[in-house]
Amino acid sequence: MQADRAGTGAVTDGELLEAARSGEPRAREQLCARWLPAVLRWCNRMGGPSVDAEDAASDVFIVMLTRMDRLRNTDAFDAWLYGITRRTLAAHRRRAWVRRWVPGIFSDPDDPETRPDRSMERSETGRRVQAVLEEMTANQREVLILCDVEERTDEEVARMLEIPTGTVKSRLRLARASFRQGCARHSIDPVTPGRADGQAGGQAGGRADGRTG
Amino acid sequence: MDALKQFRNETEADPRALARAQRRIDQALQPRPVEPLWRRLVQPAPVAAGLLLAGALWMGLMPPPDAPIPAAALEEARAMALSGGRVQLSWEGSGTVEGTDQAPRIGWESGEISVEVEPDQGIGLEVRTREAQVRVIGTGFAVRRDALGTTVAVRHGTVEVTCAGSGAVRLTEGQSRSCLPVSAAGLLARARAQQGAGAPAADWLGSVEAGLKAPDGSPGIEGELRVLQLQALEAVGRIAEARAVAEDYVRQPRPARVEEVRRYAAMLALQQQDCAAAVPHLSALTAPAVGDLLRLADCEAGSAPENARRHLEAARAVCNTPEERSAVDTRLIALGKGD
Repeated sequence: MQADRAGTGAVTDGELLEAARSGEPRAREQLCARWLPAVLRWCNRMGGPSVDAEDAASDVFIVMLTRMDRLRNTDAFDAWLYGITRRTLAAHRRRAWVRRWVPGIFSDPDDPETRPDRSMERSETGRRVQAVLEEMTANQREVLILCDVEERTDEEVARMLEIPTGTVKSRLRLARASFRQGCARHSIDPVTPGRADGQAGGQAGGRADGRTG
Repeated sequence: MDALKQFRNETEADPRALARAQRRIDQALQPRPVEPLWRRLVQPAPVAAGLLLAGALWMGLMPPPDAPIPAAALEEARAMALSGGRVQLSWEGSGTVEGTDQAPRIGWESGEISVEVEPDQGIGLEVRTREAQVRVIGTGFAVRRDALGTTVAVRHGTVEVTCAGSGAVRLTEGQSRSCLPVSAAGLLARARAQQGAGAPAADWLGSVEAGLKAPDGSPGIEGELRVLQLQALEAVGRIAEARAVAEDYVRQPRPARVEEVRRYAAMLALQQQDCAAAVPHLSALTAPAVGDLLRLADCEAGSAPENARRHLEAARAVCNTPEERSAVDTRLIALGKGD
């Protein structure tokens, strides 16, 4: 299942991980190639404007590759990797906060301050959505992104976040309400979140695929 | 267009970003020399500490005397240490830091960490590994964690070391203490490291036996430990005990590494000229090697020559070298003469 999401074929993440653990360099490369796009997307979407997504994504993989021996249940690789991403993003946000007050405290040759602002590559709407997401709590933000932007099932998200499906549903309901209020504040066209392809417009708090929020 | 869809499209991973991220991963994983701690601390320390202090005063946000340290990988502790400046760490390995400014707790995972704590500042620093806990107030010491366990060595001052499952011991200047791993996997790694380092078999037999008693063992680890146990028992000359261990082990339901244990059991039996005990083990091998089949044929040549011939023919089919083929043929000829 995890391999299918990444669109890879027969070799599962668990098998790749085992091979990478035994020192097979191609398995390591394949794991990166398979998961880097997903991790970069998570970092783009959840990191916020203060976090350099590429920087965070590469940190996620460095942690993953240096700690892969610790993962016992290789079937839960995606949840484990998501957990690393979450913690890495939290650390990057903390660092960004400190950097704001104490410039130069972290010696970072690729300091985002000196790099072109990649958020400029986004449209006005994209930036406003980002601002709304930033105003939400971290729990609500990640559930909204995983369910409504990435269109994962509640069960899949529950497994990734290691919380009950009921909790995912209730968080999603609150997240959607919060997102709608944020959209109003930021003058974004109030399309109801549900599916990112817009088919859910007008279905308050629900999804066009028949799932209820 | 739906705002979320637009956001989704704009936050897709584009190939250039992927290439840049991949390059950073590759660069970060390149082995590089460890920079001495003083160099890492000295460069940003004065500027950062000054700015931090000025910023905190300016904002009226002076941290409380014992501010909590957010749990983080030890990489980040370099920056956190600047606020106190009274604890100096240098390391080669990995760990985490948490606790408070006055009582930092370092969770050390692997490698070596060296700690200097400014005395008389009331700093209650603690270093924990899986096997050991080191408490200190004002001293310098090093903790090394590897496959053999955790070793604490004191350069100056006093530390209190508590190994898992035993009481606290105070160490003073020049003293050191080692704490053994406590998990079955840790003890297996220790036994292998001892064996690899050429330690006496009795030493690694101790680690193996402790590993077999550890409560967190698994069938896989037990299999590995049993093989090592047999090797150690044979090396110290306790052959009868080794045979009993092997016999007990193969009777377990679905034991791990059973082929290797059976082969060992057969070899130990043959060392004591006990073909009758070796034959069942050799016959039970699912993938017998030429050597196994030759031993089996030798055992059965007298009592069951037809079986012996069958084993030799099976061995001939899997021979890889002329020497093996010659050993098989010699036995077949001898069997033929017997007929």
